[in-house]
Amino acid sequence: MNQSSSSIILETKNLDIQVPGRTLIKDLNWTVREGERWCLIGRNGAGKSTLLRIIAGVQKNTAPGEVFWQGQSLFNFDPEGLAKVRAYAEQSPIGGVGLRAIDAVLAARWPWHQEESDVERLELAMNALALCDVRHLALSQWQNLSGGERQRVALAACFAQNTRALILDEPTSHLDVGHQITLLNTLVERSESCGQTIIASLHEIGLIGRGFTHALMLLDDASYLLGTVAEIVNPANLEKSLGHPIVEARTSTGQIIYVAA
Amino acid sequence: MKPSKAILFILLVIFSLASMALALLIGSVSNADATIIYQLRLPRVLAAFAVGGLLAMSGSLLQVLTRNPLAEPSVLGVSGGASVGALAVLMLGGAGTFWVAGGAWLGAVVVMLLLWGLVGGYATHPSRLLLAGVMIATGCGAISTLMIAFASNVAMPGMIHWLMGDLDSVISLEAVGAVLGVWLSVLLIVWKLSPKIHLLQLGTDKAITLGIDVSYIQWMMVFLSALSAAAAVSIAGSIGFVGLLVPHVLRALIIKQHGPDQKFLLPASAFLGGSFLVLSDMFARTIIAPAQLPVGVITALIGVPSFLWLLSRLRHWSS
Repeated sequence: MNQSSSSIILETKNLDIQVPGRTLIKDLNWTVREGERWCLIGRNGAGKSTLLRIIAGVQKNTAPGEVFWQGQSLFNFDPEGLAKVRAYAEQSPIGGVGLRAIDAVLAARWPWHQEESDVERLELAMNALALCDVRHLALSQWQNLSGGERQRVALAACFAQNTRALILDEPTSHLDVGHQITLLNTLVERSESCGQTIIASLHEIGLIGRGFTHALMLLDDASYLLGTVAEIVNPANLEKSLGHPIVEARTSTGQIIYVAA
Repeated sequence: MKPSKAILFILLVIFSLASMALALLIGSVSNADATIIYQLRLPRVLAAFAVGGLLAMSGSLLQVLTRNPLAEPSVLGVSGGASVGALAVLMLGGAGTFWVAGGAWLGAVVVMLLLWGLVGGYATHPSRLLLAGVMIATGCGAISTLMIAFASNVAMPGMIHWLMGDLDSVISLEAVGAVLGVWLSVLLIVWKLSPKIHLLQLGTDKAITLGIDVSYIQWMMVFLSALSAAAAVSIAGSIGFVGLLVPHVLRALIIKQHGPDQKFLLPASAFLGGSFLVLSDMFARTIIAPAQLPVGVITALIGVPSFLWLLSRLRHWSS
């Protein structure tokens, strides 16, 4: 897909992100185009989760600034319409009493419930679970799943929702290394095959080069850096954002990875 | 054979009708004639069915709303609030089904709002909400006693009669019609909302991203659960544990096969709750016949051990 000509899916204009008593991000002007894969880098408490919650429409923004999805202001979206545009995976997904993995994924088909039969829905949900390598856990109770398994079920639910964009809050945080890489490969494949846009916050800087095309780095003084990974991801900028010296390493296949010094 | 939800539901409705028929036929008077059945037992059985169904729906709604499997109108103080509201109306000299029921509903809503204010939302701190509810229930009990102690000589007999009120005081067809009407309306609204209530089980954030108007649904659940508890309390006084027990039995029935599907669980509680109370009431009036036990004794005798058993099974449920 030609990156520069693809359509704009998300835009923020002069967006401030505030928590009581502090401005975390000032004047964010950010344009995300279809099929791009953005990683969000910053220290704990830098405002990554709050930013994701606000663009997802889960949390109301009380500070100045506007968010647009497909050119339409977030406030003007009807909830059901927005549910077909973006899916959001929280940092710690919750399940109800007695909920099974499959129930969480079936529920994610709600925005499309008028357009499909129960049989189609079940098939889509099982495929989404298989994609995240948790098909065998479909009938397991939520409270019996491990942290990483819950996260993969929650991701399967996001995939099943079948939206234009995915907003993922630390999708790799509870995953083992193998599943981290598999997940990134799945994300790359989905964005390349069906133009799905990915926005994910991330602490594993070693993974940036493996799957993301763009980065938004939050800095200490409420400012930010954004651009393609090639342009802005380097040891100097990572150090500015994360507050710890970062060095560059090269794998035997020539891929650049970043590690804490 | 794996029974589908539809078959289970039809079986439940048949069971409800059978339990009502049984309760009509069995009684302390051996040579029961048509007059006794139609004038005494029929209103009582119908009222018991509606009250039980309302309590069970209230419990089901509260358990989803608070994300707490131990929530129930009498545990959270909602029934207690309804009692205080109804007694206040009686104390001020009000009478009639309408005003007493209105006072009960107002009391139940006030308790729901108080819980929301004290804990900061219904779903955020399940264990704090439960503790606050238990305290409010205790407080409401004390206030009810106080109000009777300070009531005028004119109002006091009516208040005491109401507080001890049981299903045997139900003779007015008007009151039976009203409570059946509330049962049916709540059932229909809850049935319509149930697909969305089902999604709330995933948490409010997830429900929002799926396109659910979460605050509307939550407030509907608050008002419907308060309305159900209040209607039940204003007919039959505070009856505990129906709202706790019935949703758990239903969940256990379908969870392996269908998960906690609220599209089944909520309407099904309206029927199983009704049958449960009809049968409990049947035992209450026959075990030591011709004397009668309050039906709350029967539900508590079944409910308390079940509550404790559930509590011991829910070890992983903490924060």
